[in-house]
Amino acid sequence: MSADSLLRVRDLAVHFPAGHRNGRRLFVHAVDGVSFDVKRGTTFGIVGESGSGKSTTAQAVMRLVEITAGEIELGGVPLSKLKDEALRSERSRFQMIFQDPFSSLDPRRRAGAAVRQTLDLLGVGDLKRRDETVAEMLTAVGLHPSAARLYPHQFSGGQRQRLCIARALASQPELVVCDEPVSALDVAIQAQILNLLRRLQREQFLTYLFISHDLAVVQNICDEVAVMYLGEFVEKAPTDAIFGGARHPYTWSLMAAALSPEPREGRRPDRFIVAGEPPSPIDPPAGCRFSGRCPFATERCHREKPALRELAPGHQVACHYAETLDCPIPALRQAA
Amino acid sequence: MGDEPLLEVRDLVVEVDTGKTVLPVIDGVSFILAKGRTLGIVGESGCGKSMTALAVMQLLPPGFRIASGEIRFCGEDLARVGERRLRALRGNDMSMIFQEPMTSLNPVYTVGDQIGETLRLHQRLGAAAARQRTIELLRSVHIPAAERRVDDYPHQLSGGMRQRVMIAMALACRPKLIIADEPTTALDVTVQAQIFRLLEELREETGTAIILITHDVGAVAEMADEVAVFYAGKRAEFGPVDTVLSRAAHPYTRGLMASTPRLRLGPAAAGAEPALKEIAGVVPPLGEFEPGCRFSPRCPLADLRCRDVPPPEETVDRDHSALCWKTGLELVA
Repeated sequence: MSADSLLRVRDLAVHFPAGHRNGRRLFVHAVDGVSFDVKRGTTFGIVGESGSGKSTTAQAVMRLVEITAGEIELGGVPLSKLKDEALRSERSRFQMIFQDPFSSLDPRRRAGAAVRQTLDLLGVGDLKRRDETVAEMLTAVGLHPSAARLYPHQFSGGQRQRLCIARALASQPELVVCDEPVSALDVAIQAQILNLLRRLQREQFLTYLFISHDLAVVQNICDEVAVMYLGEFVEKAPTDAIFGGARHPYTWSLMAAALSPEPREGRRPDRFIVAGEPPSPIDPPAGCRFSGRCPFATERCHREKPALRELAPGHQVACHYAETLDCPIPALRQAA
Repeated sequence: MGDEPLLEVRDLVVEVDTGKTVLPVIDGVSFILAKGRTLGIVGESGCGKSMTALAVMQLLPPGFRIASGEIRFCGEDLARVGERRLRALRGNDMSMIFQEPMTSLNPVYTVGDQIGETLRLHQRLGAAAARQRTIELLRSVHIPAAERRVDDYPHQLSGGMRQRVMIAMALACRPKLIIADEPTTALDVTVQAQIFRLLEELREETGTAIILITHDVGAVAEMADEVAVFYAGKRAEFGPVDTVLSRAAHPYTRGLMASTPRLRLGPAAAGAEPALKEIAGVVPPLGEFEPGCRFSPRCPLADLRCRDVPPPEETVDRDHSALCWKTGLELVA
């Protein structure tokens, strides 16, 4: 672990109770032993499908769900151990942007008041200066200061997400957790928001934990990427390394399934499509969790769980056969 | 194209009555779909793509009505035929797949009941024959253990399986046309890839024509033969998919493609990610359009004429046209 990491997560597990079966208590293994560091001023992306545990990881970092095991440290402060007032006093340092800018704003609260509320609740800055701060925040995200008087329904989806970003940044946080921040937006607006997040990061030296199901978006904004499947990281590497030479079959399946707006000439007719859907996170498979869908799986994969191990500096893969598998994606084969 | 048109929509205008005023949500849209082809309709929310689908199916929500234009399906003008005839056509000759399979399946009936109902109503099959055919249909959409799954309720199926059931239901009577409105938007990418492959496969087998409504240019590239790009209730561009994606003529289409992040794999992944091109501004609200081109306030090429005079339908190439004064001009962004 390098000294300049702002967020440090170790062996994080989040299990939710899921009733009983045959007298035994069941748990949803939403997150099951995840570790990562996020360096200051960089963006760490977690990509995966629904049920992978990526959003639960984000919520655990935000201390919005109860942590079953593991440690979370923000700039040396053990977030996972803090309670009540001690936790509240740290809140201004880490803030969140949600997927749906419609349901994450109070419809009866004016835009300015929504941003100001963050300042008031967290007691940030001089009382007299707070209205000025609100105006500055709105300007920073590309809204006119006069928009402070408007209600959320008077904004478009993209403007509402800008407002949510202004609200998140008002307390001058070091870490911003972005949970699918552009998924609910139209493409043209997605580009505006992604570019805005990049600009704000440059200007304010922000650190992002960025959750997304969209590989192209993740490649666009992240410095390092973890691919999550059924509560675990299956691959983790710097962005260039993972898109240049991914080694986990699940990562390959995500890359092959991503649609490209290129004309058809460049399409692969025999592309790599895995069958089935992720199994239930209650009672996950004993061996490799992807083994049930993996076309390369052997008997060993069903039995023995592969550890996340380092293939190249910073590039970790959880697959018994990571070195030897023949990659089904032509572009990735060229790199090897 | 060459083939006789299966569906021909001409100068379609759909209006909504807001109580205070009447506004056009679709304003003079035309397109042609030949037998067995796939037409992609792509655009942002509010562009009128879903309303076009509902107008074709004659299922417009209350307050919306077709003000003018023609919708010819196998020669019949759907805007003029009666409800009885429509009911015979829907389900039988044309059917629809919706975005959210959970809300479009009835939670209190089994999958078999729901597909079987279509078969009994439209094909007049008896109970046993309908069940047998339902199992065959579930097999054709690759639902494992179809003979058991037929008795499942929707909540017992995963999202991908539910969408397969919706597709099986849409295919039950071997329709000539399927309208798929964002059929994979609620699904995960690996499941989306499975569903697209399935639709492709079924189209080859049955010769069904498909209208794919989507916000995703990538989905159009994957599935469609022709594409119509919608903007603010107008058809901004129309043409063969390869032509439109490689030589887009309308500045909006170009902007849409430039703002879509692209995956760069292998050697192409090296180096810093270029910033995405943005389309400045937002779609103006309904009824607050410029007198000229509706895209002009956001268009980098727009001049006074663009703002004041509605653009003509310019033919760029044989089957390729764009609603623009500046067609052919290079985009200088």
